[in-house]
Amino acid sequence: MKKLRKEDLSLHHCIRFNILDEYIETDYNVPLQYLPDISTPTSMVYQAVSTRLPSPTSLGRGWVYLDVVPGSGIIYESMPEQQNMVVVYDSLGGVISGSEYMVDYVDGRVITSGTVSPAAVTYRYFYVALCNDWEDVIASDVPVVVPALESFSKEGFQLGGGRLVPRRGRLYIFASNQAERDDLAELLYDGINQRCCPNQNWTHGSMLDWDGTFNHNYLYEVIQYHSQLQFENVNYRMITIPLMSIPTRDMTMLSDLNRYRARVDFTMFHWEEG
Amino acid sequence: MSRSLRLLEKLIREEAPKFITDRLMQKFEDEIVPFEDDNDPAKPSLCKDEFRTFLEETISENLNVTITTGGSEVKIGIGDANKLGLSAELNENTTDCIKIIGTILSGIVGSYVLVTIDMTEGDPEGRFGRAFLVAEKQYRLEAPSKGWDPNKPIWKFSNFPGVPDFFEIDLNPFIESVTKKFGEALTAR
Repeated sequence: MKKLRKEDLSLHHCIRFNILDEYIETDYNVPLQYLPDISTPTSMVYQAVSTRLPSPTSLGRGWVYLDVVPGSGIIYESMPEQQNMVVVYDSLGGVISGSEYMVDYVDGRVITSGTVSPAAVTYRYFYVALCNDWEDVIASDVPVVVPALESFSKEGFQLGGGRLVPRRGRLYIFASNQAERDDLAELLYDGINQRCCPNQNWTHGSMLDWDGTFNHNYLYEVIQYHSQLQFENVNYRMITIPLMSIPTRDMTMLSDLNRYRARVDFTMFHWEEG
Repeated sequence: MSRSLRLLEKLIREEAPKFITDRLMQKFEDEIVPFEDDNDPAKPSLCKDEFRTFLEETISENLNVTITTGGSEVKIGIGDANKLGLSAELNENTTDCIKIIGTILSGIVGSYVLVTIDMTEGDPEGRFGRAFLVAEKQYRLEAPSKGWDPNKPIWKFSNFPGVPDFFEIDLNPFIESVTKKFGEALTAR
C-alpha cells in the first residue's frame, strides 16, 4: 500500500471516528432472519431486518465496530473490536455472549456456529455514509460525505533531505435538508480546521476484513519519521445547483441528492524526514 | 498616490480581465467542451460568447486594486458566485447559459434530463427559455402528461464530478506581464 492510500485511509478513519461520531444512531431490537442459502451447519448466518431509512447497511454506512463515546471519539493506541455497540438477544430476550458469534459489520449480519439461536439485535450504526467516490453517492442515501484527495506535490526543504507533502482535498457533502447540511458542514469544518490526525501505517490492513468481520490482526502503528497529517486552508462553500431551480409551473420536484450540497476544501500536509 | 503607482493600477485594471478571461475560456475549452453532446441543443459551447462576456464584466466589476507605497494588493473577484450557484442563494437574474455552466462546474450526482420551455410536441428544443433539470425517473413519469418527448436522452453532464478548481488559475504569468509592461512604461517616460 503506497503512502497516498495510507493517508486516504487515515483521513477516512479520522472523519468516521473523530468527527462524525456524533452521527452514530442506535437501532433497537431488530429481528434477525436466518439465511439458509449462505449458511452451513457450522456457520449459521442471520441478517438484521431493519426498517430504518437510510438503511444502516447501505453503501458507506454499516454497524459500528469500535467502542465510541460520542464527542470523545476513540483512543487511537488501543482499538479492539467493540464490546458494547452490538448486543444480540435470543428468543426469550436473554443476551447472548459475544464469544458465541461473529459480526459482519458491513452487511449487518450475525454469524454463529450453531450453538445459539439469535432472534434480535440492538446495534449502533453510522448514520452518515462515508463514500470513496462520487459515483457511490447514488448507491447510498443522503446524508453522504465523500472525502477526495485530488492533487499533491512534494517539496524539499531548503536544508536537509526531508520533504513537505501537501495534498489538496475536498469533502463533498450531500444532505437531506438545509439544517442537516449546515450542521454537517460546520462539524466537518471544525473537525479538521487546525487539527491533525495520525498518519497510520496500516501494517496488517484496515480494521475490517474483506468479509466485513473485524480484522483482529489490525495493528495501530504510525508511519515512522513522518509527522501527523495536518490541515490548513480549510474553506467552506455552499453549493446551489442552478438548473435545479424549477421555474413556476405545474411540476413538483421529488427529493433529490443534489438539493442540499456543500463542500469543504482543505490542504492536508505532513513532513517526511530524509 | 504617485503617478507611477497610478500607472501600475491602470495597467492592472486594463490587463487583468482579459488575461483571466482568456485563461478561463481555455479551461472551458479543455475541461468542459470535450464532454458535451453534439446533438444537445443546449450544449455549453453554444454559450461560449455569453460566458466570456459574463466573465469579462464580472471580473472588471470585482477588481479591487489597492496600491500604496507600503505595499500593493490586488483582489480579483472572478465571476458572480450568485449567478453561477456557488453560494447560498441563486440570483434569479441569471441566464440559461450561466446556469448550465454553473451546474457543470459544481457537478451533479445521478441521471437527469434537461428540460427547456420550448421542448414540447417534438418541436426543436429551444436553447433558451429557463432550462431546468429533472431527475430521469421523474421525467419519464411526467413527460407523457406534459406532451414532452418521453425518449429524450439524459443530459450528458449527468453524474458528472464537476470542475471544482475551475477558477483556480496560475496568476504568475499575469504578474510577470504587468511587471514587464510597467517597467517599459517607466523607461519610456
